Amino acid sequence: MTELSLSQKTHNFARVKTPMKLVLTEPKWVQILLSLIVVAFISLFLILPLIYIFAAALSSGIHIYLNSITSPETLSSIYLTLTVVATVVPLNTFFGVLLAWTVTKYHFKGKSLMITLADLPFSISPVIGGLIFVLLFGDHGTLGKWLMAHNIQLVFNTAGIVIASLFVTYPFVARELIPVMESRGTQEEEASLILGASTLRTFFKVTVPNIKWGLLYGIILCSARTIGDFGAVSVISGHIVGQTNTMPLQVEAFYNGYQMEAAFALSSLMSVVALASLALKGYFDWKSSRTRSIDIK
Amino acid sequence: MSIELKNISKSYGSCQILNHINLTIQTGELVALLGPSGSGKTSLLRVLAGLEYADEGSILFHGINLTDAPIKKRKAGFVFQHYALFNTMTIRENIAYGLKVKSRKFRPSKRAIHEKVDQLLHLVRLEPYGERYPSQLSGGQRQRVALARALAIEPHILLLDEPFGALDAKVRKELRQWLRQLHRQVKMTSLLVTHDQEEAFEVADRIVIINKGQIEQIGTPSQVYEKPVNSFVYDFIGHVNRVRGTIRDGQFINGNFKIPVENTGSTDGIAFIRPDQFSIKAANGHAANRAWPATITHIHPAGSVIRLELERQDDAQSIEVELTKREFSQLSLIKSQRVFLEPKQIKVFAADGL
Repeated sequence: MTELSLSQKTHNFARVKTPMKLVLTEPKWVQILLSLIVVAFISLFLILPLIYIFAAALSSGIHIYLNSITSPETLSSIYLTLTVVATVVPLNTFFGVLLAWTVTKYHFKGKSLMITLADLPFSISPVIGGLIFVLLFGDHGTLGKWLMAHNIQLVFNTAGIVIASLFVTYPFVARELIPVMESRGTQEEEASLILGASTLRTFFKVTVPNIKWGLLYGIILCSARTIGDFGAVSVISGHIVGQTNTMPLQVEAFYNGYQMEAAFALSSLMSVVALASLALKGYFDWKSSRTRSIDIK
Repeated sequence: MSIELKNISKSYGSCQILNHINLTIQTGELVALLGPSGSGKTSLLRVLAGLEYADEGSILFHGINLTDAPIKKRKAGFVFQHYALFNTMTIRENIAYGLKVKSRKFRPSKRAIHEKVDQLLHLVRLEPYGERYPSQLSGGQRQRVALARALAIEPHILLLDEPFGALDAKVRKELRQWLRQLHRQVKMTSLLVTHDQEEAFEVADRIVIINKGQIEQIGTPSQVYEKPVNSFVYDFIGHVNRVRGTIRDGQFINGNFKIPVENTGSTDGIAFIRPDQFSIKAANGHAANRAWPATITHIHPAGSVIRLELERQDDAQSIEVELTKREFSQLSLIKSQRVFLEPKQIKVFAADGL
C-alpha cells in the first residue's frame, strides 16, 4: 500500500517536471541569440561610451589631460561639488534615517502617504525641482522678497545648489533603510529599552549595526547623485563660471566652449567616481546579503 | 515582588483589547496567562513591561504605583517569542548588555560583569557558547540566552511572551521542564503568556484564562481543569465533546437522552463531556435515556491511552472517547462494532453566546 502510493508520487512528479523543462529550455540557438543581443546592447550603449570618454580625454596626451584637470575652472567646479556633497549627504542621511525610523517604528495616520511623498523627487523632473526653488526663493516669489529684504540670498549661489541637491537626493537613504528596518521589526529595540538602555543608546548600539550596510549603500547612492545631478542644479546655479558651476555644469560649459579635451577630462573623472561607487555598492550588497543569510541560518 | 493589576483597560480605536483586568500575582509565583490568539494576553504583558500604556487602571509593583513609570523604572525582564537577541553581538555581549548600559553610578565593574555573565551562562547551560553569535545557535539555545539576558539585570519580575512558541515540540517540552526547574531555583515572580494549555498546565502555579480582553477564570491548574466556570473555559481547556440540546423543566434533552440539570429556565443548551468521562458497554445495560448508541469508526491505539472515534447512530454526531489500555482490552472492542456510550460526568451550560 505504502509502496504503491510512493511510486505513484514519483510518477506524478516526473510528469509535472517534463513540461516545466520544456518551458524553461529554449533551443540552443535562441539562447545564444538572446545573449548576444544583450551583450551587444551593453557594449554599444554602456561600455563603448565609457571607453570613449577615457580615450578622448587622453587623446592629446597625458600632459594635456593633467592640465585640463588642474585648470582653475575645473578645480573650482570640483571644489564646489565636494562642498555640496559634504553638506548635502550628511543632512540627507540624517533626514533619511529620521524618516525611515518614523515610518517603521511608529504607527500613525497618513504614514503610507508620507512614504509615497518622500518618493516625489524620483518621479519629478530635476529641472522642475530646481525651478520650484528659483520661484520660491528668487526675487519674484513672496518668500524671495522677504529673504531679499533680510539680505538672504538662496539662489544662484552655493546655498541654492545645496537646497536643490537636498531635494533631488532626499529619497535615497530612506528608500534603502525602510525595507531593512521594516523586515527587522522593533523587537530588538524593545529588548534594549527593557534592559534599561536609553533611546539614543538603543539607536546606536542596536539599530545602527543592523542597518549599517543599507545605510552605507544609501549614502553612496546619495553622494553619486549629488555629484552627478545636472537638472535642478543647472536651473538654480545661474551658471557662473568659477563660482556656481558644479562638475557636470562645468562639463557642459567646456563642451559649449569647444574645449573638448577639458570636457572629456572632467567627464572621465566623474566616471571614475561613478565606477567606484558602483564597486562599493556591489561590495555592500554582498556584505548585507551575507549577514542576512547568516541570520536565516 | 508582588504585582497587582487593578482595573486595566485598553483599546485600539473602537477595539477593546483589555477590559477591566484585575489580577494579583504573589511574590515568587509563576502565573500563566492562557488564552486564544487575539485574547489580549500579549497586550497585557506589554502594558506590564511599559512597552504600551493602559487607558485606565493602575499597576502596582509591591505596593508601589508604577502605572505611568517609564520602562526602565519597572525593572522587568522580558523574553520575546522570537528571542529578539542582538544579532551583531556575541552571546556574552548580549547577556552583559543590560549591565553595561547602566549609568556609571550603578554599573558593576568589568570584572563583576564578566563573572555575572559566567554565572548566567552556567545557569542556562551554555558555557561553551559565550563567544558565538546568536545566528550560530539553535532556537532553544537562543531562547535560553534571551532568558539569561533578561535575568542579568536582576529584574523584579520576569515576563515571558510565548517563549517556546517558535520551537519544535521536543525542544519545547525540554525547555518547559527546564523553566519549571529554573523557577524553583530563582523563585522570581513570573508571568508567562501562552496559548498552549499543556504548557500552562505543566509550568504554572496558577492559570489565568483570558478571552476577548476579559479574565474568564483564575485558579490552579487542577481547579481550572476540574471545575471550569463557564462554557468558554470548558471548551478551551482540554479535549471536549459538545452535544447540543435543549434545557427544559430542569432537564437537558438531546433525542432520547435526558439528564437533570440545575438550570431551571427553558433554553438551548450545550453539554460538555470530556473524552475520558464515558463508560462503554457492548450491550445496552443502561437505561435508554442515559446512553447513546454509537458505532466505532476509528481506533487509535498509539500512546498510553486508546482514543476511539465513534459515530452516534441517532444523529451521526462524531464523539471522541479515551480509554485506558486496560479498559480497552477488557472490552475487546473492534472497528465498526456497535456500542452504548454513557457519560459518567457531564456539564451543561446554557447556549447563549455560543
